[in-house]
Amino acid sequence: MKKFFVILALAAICCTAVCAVPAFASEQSVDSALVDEAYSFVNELCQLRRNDGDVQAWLTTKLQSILPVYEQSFPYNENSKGTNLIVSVKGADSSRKIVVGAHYDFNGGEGASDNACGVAALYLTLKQVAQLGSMLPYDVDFVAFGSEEAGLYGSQYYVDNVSADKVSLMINLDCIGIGDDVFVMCENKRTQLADLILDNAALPLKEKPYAKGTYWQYDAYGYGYYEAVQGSDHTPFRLAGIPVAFFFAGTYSARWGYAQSSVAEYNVFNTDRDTFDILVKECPQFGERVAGISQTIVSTLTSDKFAAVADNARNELLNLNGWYGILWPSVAAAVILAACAVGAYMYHRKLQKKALLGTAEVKNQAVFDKPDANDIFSFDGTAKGASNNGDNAPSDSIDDIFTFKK
Amino acid sequence: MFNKLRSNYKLSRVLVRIAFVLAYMFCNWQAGLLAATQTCDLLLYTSGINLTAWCVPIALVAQMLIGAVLMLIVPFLANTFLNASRFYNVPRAEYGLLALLFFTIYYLICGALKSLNLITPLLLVWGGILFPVLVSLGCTVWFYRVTAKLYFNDVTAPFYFRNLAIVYLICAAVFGVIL
Repeated sequence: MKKFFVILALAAICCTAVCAVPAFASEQSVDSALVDEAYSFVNELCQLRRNDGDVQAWLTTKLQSILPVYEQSFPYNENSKGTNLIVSVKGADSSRKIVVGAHYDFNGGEGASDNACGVAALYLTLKQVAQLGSMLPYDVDFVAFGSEEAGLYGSQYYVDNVSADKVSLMINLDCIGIGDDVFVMCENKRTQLADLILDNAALPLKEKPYAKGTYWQYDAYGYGYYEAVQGSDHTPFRLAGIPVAFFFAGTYSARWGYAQSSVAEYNVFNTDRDTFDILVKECPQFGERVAGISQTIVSTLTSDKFAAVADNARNELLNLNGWYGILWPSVAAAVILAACAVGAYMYHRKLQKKALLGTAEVKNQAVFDKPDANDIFSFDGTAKGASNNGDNAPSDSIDDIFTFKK
Repeated sequence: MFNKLRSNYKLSRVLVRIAFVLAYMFCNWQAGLLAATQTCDLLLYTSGINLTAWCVPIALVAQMLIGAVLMLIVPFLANTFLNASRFYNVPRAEYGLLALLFFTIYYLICGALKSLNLITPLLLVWGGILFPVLVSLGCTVWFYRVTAKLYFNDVTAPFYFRNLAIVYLICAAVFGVIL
């Protein structure tokens, strides 16, 4: 018996060892020089925002130190204009394009976590990719989006002015600082793209859990069988049929949804508490996260499998757009109801014919053979539930009620 | 068992009402849980109140309350239907109870079909719209056959059928297709 338990225990240990797939399988470690650079980049950007400096000009200068920047201006209100900062890197094949994006506007505090960290990761990724040149399979556009917080105006404008067929993939970086864990979200199912990113992860990275069943409602973004989508710059791309990979930090449960943290005071984004000081205090490892994500993206883009995976990513999208999800089932339901209406009309005619020859006998059947007089009216002239035979038992009977006797 | 229930209207009424509320909760727990989680998220973000651990009980209680309110509304609507149709010979309380019973069956079948969404998303989109229409159609036909046999003769049955069909088609079109 003892032997049996020993074998069972050994088998359990072996199974655990085999089944416990690490969240990130890559052996690469985070470059400490990149970590330091991420720290100083975020610090500098937050300082600029604190002092109401010109963030756009500063960021343009930073990006221009690597490659030329194209400023794409767009109107988003009657009197407001925003600007996307675009840096293009040539790859081996210019017929296809990858977009890596992060928004540089902010809402509340200094926007340290949302989204100075994302912009820092974008900058570090660009810096590494610029040195690779033709090692990239496709062209890559690095876009610092404007006016995300005002309503995704920058990313929407970019999508409206790019050939969607040409873009193979969009990688979005938003809110990657404070948060319990770092996630990547691709599609609401297992995809080759998600697997490839996880295989090349340079930091503990999780794929966002699929929300099977629990989140059955159709959401406004067109994802269909999905939870409520976190609106960010990847959303206009996904709505245009472009595969996306969205990096974000937080805690996520298919049961209760998304939050930055299970600790309430760590939920800082879009609040005045989204400052550099709180970022350092609550998430001292943010530099590793930013550098790690940038390394992950570079490793993914330069992977041997990347071109094939990116080419196939469109085939893996869930085909649940608004027309498919709402219109056609509704049309089918309307057709069924119309058929019912026709059938009902014909059956009604049949009943009418039957009525001509039928009898008008009083139906006195009922489900309850001893109905309660308090609940069913009676015609016997006594008050409801009152006794008329001297004892306290209810006097109503089935005959009293349905035959109008007495 | 069934004969005992037939002779005890009050007990039957209590049992049917309990079954109705439970069936409603069984049918709508997914939507209730979604609404509760979104509300808890909103509270967490806006006021820092962390109720995420209470999402499931909140969803259950909310569904129970909605079910209890519907439990009162359904017999009232059945009564209104009889009044509007001028069917004065039908025992109102009993008819309302039968209506509750058929709604219970409807919710149970819909709940079972919705449970398929936990296994596969294949039926979610089309099933979400078509299942309620088809199941309610089946339940309405069944309800008509039972009540027509009990309370209506050859002369009154066509009027009853016509009115019930109109009410069903309007409700199914509004709640199943338009909304």
